Amino acid sequence: MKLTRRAMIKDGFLAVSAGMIMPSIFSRGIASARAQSIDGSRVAQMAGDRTLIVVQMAGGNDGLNTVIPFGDPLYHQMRPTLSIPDTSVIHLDTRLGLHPNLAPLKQLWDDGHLAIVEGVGYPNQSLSHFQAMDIWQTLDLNGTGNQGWLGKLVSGWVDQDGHPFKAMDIGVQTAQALASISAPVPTISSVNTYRIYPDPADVDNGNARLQALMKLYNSYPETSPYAALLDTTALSAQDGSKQLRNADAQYQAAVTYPQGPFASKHGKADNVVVMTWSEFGRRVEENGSQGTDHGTAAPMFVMGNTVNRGTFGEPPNLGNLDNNGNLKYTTDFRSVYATILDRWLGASSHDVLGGSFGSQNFLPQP
Amino acid sequence: MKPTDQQRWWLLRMAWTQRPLLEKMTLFWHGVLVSSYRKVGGARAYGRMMVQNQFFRAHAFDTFDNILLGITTDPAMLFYLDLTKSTKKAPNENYARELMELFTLGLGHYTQQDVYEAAAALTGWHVKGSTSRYLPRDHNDLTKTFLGQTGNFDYKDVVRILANHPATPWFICRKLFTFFVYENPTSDDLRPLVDTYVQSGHNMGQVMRTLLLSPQFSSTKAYRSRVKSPVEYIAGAYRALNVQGSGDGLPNISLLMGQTLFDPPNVAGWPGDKVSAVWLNSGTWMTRLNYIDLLLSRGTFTGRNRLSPIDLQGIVDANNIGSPEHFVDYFTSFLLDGVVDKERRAQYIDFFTTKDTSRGNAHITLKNGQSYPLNRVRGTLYLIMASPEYQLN
Repeated sequence: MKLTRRAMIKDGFLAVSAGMIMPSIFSRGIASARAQSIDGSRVAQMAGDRTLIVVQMAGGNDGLNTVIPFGDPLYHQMRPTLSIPDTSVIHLDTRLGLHPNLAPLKQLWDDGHLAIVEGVGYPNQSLSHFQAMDIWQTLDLNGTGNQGWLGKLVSGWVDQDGHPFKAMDIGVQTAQALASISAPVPTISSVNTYRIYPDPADVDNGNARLQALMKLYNSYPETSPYAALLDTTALSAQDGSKQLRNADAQYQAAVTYPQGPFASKHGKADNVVVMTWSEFGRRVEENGSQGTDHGTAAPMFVMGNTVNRGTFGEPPNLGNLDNNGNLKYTTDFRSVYATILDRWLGASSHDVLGGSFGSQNFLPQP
Repeated sequence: MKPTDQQRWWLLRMAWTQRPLLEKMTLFWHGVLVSSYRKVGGARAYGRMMVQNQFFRAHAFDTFDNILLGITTDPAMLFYLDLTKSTKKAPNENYARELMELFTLGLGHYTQQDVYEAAAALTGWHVKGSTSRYLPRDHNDLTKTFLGQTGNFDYKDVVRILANHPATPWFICRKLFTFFVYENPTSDDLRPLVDTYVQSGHNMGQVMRTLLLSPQFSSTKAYRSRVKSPVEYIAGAYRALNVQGSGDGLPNISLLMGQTLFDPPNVAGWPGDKVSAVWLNSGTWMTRLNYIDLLLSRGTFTGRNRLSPIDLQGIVDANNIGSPEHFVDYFTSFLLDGVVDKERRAQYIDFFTTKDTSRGNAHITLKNGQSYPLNRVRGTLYLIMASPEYQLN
């Protein structure tokens, strides 16, 4: 898991990111959000210069072979070919261990910067990838929501300079979690392509042409389908591209996350929390193709200097499965979101999530 | 054939075909009955995606039963959704589940038990070399109860039961209508298509005919009601400007716009096929603009294959374009169907006629003998193709 910021931007890493380590952009966006919150901004208040990185493992990550209950004989019995032998498991304690490919996470664990939340899920899973992804991102348990939880969060942030970089999305498709009805989040595949090229025959760097174009967008009849989308997209692109290039020109060090001193080269070691999620885990018992079918509950990782090391939530019981042979979830995913919102982002989880779902102690009370 | 070469081939085929509807229907099926080159058995098996593509083209307007039978036994699909790994003793659920959830019925019309039973019925198919084959001895021949019917079912029975299920025409006609007309169709919008499906023995060509002749298809509600997909945008602009090129670089542009042929993001296909608004964000929007700029003014795709920008003076001469108004009317007539109101037409003409200096004093001379700076003339065409209207279908 070597994520350099450049690699993520260059390769369009599948990640949802509500804030990256891009100091000149985010300190300002977040600081001004805090200033605005005093005047009563809608949803979020920032407690300080803090960044949340959300990593989606799409496709249903096999939770049981990621965080392995190696001490449970049922684990080995039900996965005769797929279980990881005890000798290869990276032991965290007497009960749980990590997959051998996750050695860098062991270092974070030893440094006290890794939390594992066990048994995370929600009621009545349909075992559909797509409904599950919808639910995790929009919080609508019917899977018909259209606004993402992070999109709802950042749409409440107001940057007094009007800059769009309150959050950003790496890739070519805006992640559903960041979908916002009122404030589209910039979606970037690379710094180089996030710009509007001028006509080489222009002597004003394309300025007049861009102004004429913006006028065409601005005057597009408001009643037409997508008028607002087109207009805000154009504005966000025009402004954001300038800002991103300025920030990139000032950026120098390439740092590997989460290895080494976590983001410390930026002096931001205490300012970043990483959360991972996948729409579901896999079935406990392996299938006949040396694989696993769709499952339910799975663990989540939360990483960062401020994170309390340990296991949270409740271990699911491999001996008490549902009718399909899947784990019964023990921890509502919204309690993880709530913890991050309340204790890290200084937001009101009740407002963002639309209810109270409890919390986990992987972050200290603010 | 590398995936980028396959993508380039298809994009050029879409741009130059004499049967655009057939290509569009092929694209529709690719986005519904999804496979990706990333999981078809490794780099040496990428050709399986071409086999599948030719299948969709050959059967684009066939009965849904035949299309489902073909895709169920298609080598790329057998790999992509693991049916080739499914065995008599250990049926793999993956294809059975997605066949019902994403290809025919939709969530809510089947249970996990139906998934188990269909998985058992579907066993027996495996990829062998470049083709697939059915091994009766690897077919699970126990009695199954699937969607309320009981028998010793095999893959043909599963397809038959699904193609005849009452939820199926509503499911597939909704997808078709959304792709070709507008989003969130009502039951009244869909009923004629569903009726045609049933009455024609599930013939998708007949369903398509009903759709194309429906008042909804030519309604104002349908006009400019969908954001063009990246592939439509790329192939459409390429064809409209008569660009003569190898198509090098187009796959990467398509990727940056958010659509990679032969590689939908997951088995549910492109989200933009359902909600076309998601094709647009600040990043993909700028890629669209830069693509137009590339065709008009840079004319280069890659280092080794340099093209000229389009020959604007040649177009002006060939069409006897004699005034800025004429220039705007000529291009909007086919780029925007001639549907431009007076005020917006004036904005284009304004830009065209504003005094400016082009780099190197390059200019275009109209038939009236008047010369205009190249950047203004070219910029006007750019504005038309970068406009909100041109982003929409």
